[in-house]
Amino acid sequence: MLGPLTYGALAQGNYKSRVLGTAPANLIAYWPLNEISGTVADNAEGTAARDGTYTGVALNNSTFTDGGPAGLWDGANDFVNIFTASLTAALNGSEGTIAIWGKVSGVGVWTGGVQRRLFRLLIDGNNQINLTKPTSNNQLSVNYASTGASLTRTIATSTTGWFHLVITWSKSADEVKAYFGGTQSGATLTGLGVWTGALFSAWIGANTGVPAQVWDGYLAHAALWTTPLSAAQVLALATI
Amino acid sequence: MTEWRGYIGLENIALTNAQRNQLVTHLQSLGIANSDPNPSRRNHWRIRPDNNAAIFEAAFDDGTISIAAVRNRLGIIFGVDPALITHSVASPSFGGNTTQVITFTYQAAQRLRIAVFGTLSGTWAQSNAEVKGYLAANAEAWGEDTP
Repeated sequence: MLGPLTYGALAQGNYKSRVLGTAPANLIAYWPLNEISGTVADNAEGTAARDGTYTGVALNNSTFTDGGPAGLWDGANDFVNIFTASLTAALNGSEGTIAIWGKVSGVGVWTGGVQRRLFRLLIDGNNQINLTKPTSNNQLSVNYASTGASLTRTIATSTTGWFHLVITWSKSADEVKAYFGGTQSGATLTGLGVWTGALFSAWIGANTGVPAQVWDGYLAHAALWTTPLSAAQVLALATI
Repeated sequence: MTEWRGYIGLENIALTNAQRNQLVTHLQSLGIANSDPNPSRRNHWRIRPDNNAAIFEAAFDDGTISIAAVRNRLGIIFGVDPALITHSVASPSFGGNTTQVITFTYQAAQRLRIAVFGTLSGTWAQSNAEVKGYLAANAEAWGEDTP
């Protein structure tokens, strides 16, 4: 006999469904990061070849807004390696979206003077996409670099709650946009260069696999599309 | 055996590359929960960009990371009686708690520094606060501030 379906389980299922139902033809990876054990960060989009690998993350250390488990990155040596041949082949460096939820371990993270990555796709110094807490106090930043141009938008915040951070990019429209909490942050950036080369590394919660610039706090529901989501789609993803 | 989960650091002062690599290999083998379902309890590490320091986090058997244990391991690496290896201890604070920093000397030369972040009587949270404070204080050396 089936037990009662709890509100929490419903909420978790609803959010996952919402991500999977957002531009599904262009969703190439979605890591809920809600495992409670093991070293595999499941790609809920369904392509197992794009699963990630946890190192050091304390799984099920806290709860996400929908009540689901969330892992803790310790700010020292934890990361998820999402670099795979399959992701490399599927990635569109000219058109896309990265979305992720984050939460700091404490308010001091915002003033610690240490750069911390939420998400990174790296080809080389001239071609990369980063979602970052920079060394400057009380800021997040999104960066899209393609040969010939590096575009960065900073976002002022010192929140200790869960926040939703998104970058969209489109070479065809010549636009990079940053979204925080479902709303575009700052003006649209223009002047994109030419995305060149194949993916070299990709991380959730760190800059490299050394590791360095490790996130200090929680991360959840990281997803990657090959199209820039609309403002309405981003707002829907930012709403639990 | 008592489990202690936290961070230890090592800094090469005057080991040869071979000695350093032997010690690192040994430290990478430590830990009593390296098959734990939770990745946070498995031994994992980060290396300083110059390859002369590393930070390990694991659920350790505290007997394997004591001063005596490290001295004995150095004796094996150096091929000498561990009693010939001396040490000194400092107790700085990097993140509001205490870190035990042990410097090992052999033949009148400092060879190695070991840091037990938060000390063996500290909690994981205290150790974590200490190692984050240490990394922040040494951000450039550990690659924490490059854009």
